[in-house]
Amino acid sequence: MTARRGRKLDFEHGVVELIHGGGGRATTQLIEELFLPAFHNEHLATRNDQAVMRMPAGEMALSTDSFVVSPLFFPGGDIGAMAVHGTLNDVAMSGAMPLYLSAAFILEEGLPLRDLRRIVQSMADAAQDAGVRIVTGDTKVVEHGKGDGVFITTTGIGLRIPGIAPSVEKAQPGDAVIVSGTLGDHGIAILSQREGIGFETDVISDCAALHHMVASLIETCPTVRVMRDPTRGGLASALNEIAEASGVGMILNESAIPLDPQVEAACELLGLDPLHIANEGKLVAIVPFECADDVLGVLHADPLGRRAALIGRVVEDPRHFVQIQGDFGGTRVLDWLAGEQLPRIC
Amino acid sequence: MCLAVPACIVSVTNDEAVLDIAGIRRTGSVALIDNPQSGEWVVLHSGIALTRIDPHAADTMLSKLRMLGEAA
Amino acid sequence: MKFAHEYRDKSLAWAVAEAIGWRVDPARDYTLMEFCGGHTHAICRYGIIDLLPENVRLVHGPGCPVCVLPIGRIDQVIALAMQPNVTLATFGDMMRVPGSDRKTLLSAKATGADVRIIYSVLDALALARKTPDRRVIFFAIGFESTAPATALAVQMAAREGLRNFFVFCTHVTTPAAIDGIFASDAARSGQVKVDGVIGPGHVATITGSGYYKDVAARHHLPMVVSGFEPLDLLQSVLMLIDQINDGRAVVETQYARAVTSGGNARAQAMMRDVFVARESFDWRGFGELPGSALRLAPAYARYDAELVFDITYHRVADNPACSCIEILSGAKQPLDCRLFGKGCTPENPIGACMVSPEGTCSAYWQHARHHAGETA
Repeated sequence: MTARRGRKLDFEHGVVELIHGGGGRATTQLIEELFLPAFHNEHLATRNDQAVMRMPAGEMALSTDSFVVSPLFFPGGDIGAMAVHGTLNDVAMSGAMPLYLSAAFILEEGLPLRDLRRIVQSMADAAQDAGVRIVTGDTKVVEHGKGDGVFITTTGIGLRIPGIAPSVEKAQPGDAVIVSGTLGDHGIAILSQREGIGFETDVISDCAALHHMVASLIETCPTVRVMRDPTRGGLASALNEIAEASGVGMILNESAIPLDPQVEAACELLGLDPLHIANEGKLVAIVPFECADDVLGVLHADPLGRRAALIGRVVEDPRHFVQIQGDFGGTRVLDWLAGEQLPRIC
Repeated sequence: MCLAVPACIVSVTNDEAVLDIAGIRRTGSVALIDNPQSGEWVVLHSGIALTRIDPHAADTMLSKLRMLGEAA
Repeated sequence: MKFAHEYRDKSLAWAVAEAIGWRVDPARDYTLMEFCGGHTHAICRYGIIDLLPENVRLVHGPGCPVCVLPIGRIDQVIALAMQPNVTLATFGDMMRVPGSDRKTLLSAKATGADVRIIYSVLDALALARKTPDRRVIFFAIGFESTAPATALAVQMAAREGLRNFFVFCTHVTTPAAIDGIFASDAARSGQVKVDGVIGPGHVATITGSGYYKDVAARHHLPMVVSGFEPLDLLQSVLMLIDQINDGRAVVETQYARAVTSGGNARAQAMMRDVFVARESFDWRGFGELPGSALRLAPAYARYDAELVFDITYHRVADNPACSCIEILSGAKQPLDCRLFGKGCTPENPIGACMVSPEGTCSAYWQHARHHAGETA
């Protein structure tokens, strides 16, 4: 169904067409009838190609991320919510409170408008709940077969809390390693929907905005060394990045790592390691050991941090290994993820 | 070849069963099992139940280990 | 998880380890070969080696069907995947195994081949039903634990009259692997000295433990068919130590909750219907081993991808610097390979021992590297 002057977009039966990305009347119609009402704010209302904001004094954090998840809708979330939360979280991990987001869409010709509307509304809800505004954006359309429904890139900007400067190279021997909750939920929720591998589970994606919890954490522990959200590559990759950048090692206590029993079961079934699986609503924090109890208290008080746990310590190690001490006493190295984890039979 | 998990049969329809693996559920084939019944446990490998798990044999083995533990 | 967590009890594990410590003869060494990738994984994951006395050594044998497939077979499956209108359905294990020129199924997928990862052969059948205009080839790997599933699928395809389902059959058999170890150059030159074998538990659920009587007798080899949890492995080690000390060499079953001496008759009947033994099969590391693999029986020739697509096997020599051969026969440990960690890593594997997560080198890299003072 082609966009014509005077005819509204048919969100029930219509699909994205190439002209929606052409910059002409059809693009404007898509913006006017979908994006503007959903993301409504004074910046978008100006209908400029850019948003102009007064910059508060201080340090700004800027982060960008692209979201290509499939399926678009999954238990616990969708690509829209992920696109908002993911970038907000990246900004927040630097100790900054997110303020504004931009959102760029690459839409595949043929994507049902109904699905697009659902995604956009999800983004609007996520942004509103997070107290952040989506102030500028872009839309392009690619031919059918050249995209996975929709790809979204969001860029977020936030203001750093003065005096707070966590950074990946700041972990020190003796520090506590804390995670805010169960690991692997998001990746398993996605995998459960995948054709050929699917299974029924109560596990849902943990997709969530973490910046309020981060603000509480920082207030309690201004000397927090590092914060990371362990997305792709899971906890293992995040900790290895930190170990490498800080020139330290880590020793984790396996029995302290919080895991949902169904995530464990799915991993046993498919031969996966939950510590390599993506999370979208968890953080790992490296804090001075003396702050650990207070940090745990603050996390436990937050609905997103109920299963927070102290899982290990940073140690001196010129090899920069992240090691796990197993229940049986042996230790093993927890490595970066070597390529994507694949279900196996052996 | 080796990656297999214990699974409990929830229900059987011809050669297929709904299987429970520690709370997650998946359908699998019980075509290799004689007269499978719900409530029984099987070894599930790559979507196929290979054999029944014998709870009695499992208990016997664990008892042997516990006796070792007591003797230690 | 029932029938799993009970076998991970820490204090029981220590008790068994202590018993092993009491029963070993301090005057001798014990070399036990564990055979099955799943055992390798569990040993590393639970640090079993740290619980055993110094004079008990575990070597990793060729129980990883991914690792024993030669380069030429990988080339063959990639060629099949590149055929027009083909969907190649494979287990995840095979995606990154390098063939010639370091090509993999993953790289074939990146250049446009329709390669799908499946969890079960039944998913491949479902794909064939769903896409009748595509030719779905299932890449069948694995030992006797996985072969029955393939047999089942072929029988189902035949019953349904499916015309677009094919099997590229590379199932290999375990007694031949044991023979291969003892026939290898390494064994003949005395580099491999195996005192006992921790036998493959899931294979034995199908074949029965009696399946190994002949091969164990042939090599006067104590064998204990083991489960896959840490307590299973520790109990199996204890049983082997006892056999070795007593001078016995029989096949015992530790994994009694799932393994009987006769095995699964139904599964065996299916396999006899669908498969015949190949005269011989080229194994990475061991060369041609007679009667060591399966192919589809003539009655099912229409499902045999090798026949239908006429893409034959060509032997390709392994990288001369690669020590997979010696590692598979237990003569070398990963650190003995000069490529380990230098040129051959999980990100950049040269041989299958590093690619497969059950491969000796990969398992060692993931779980035991820190013992050696290597950097991350």
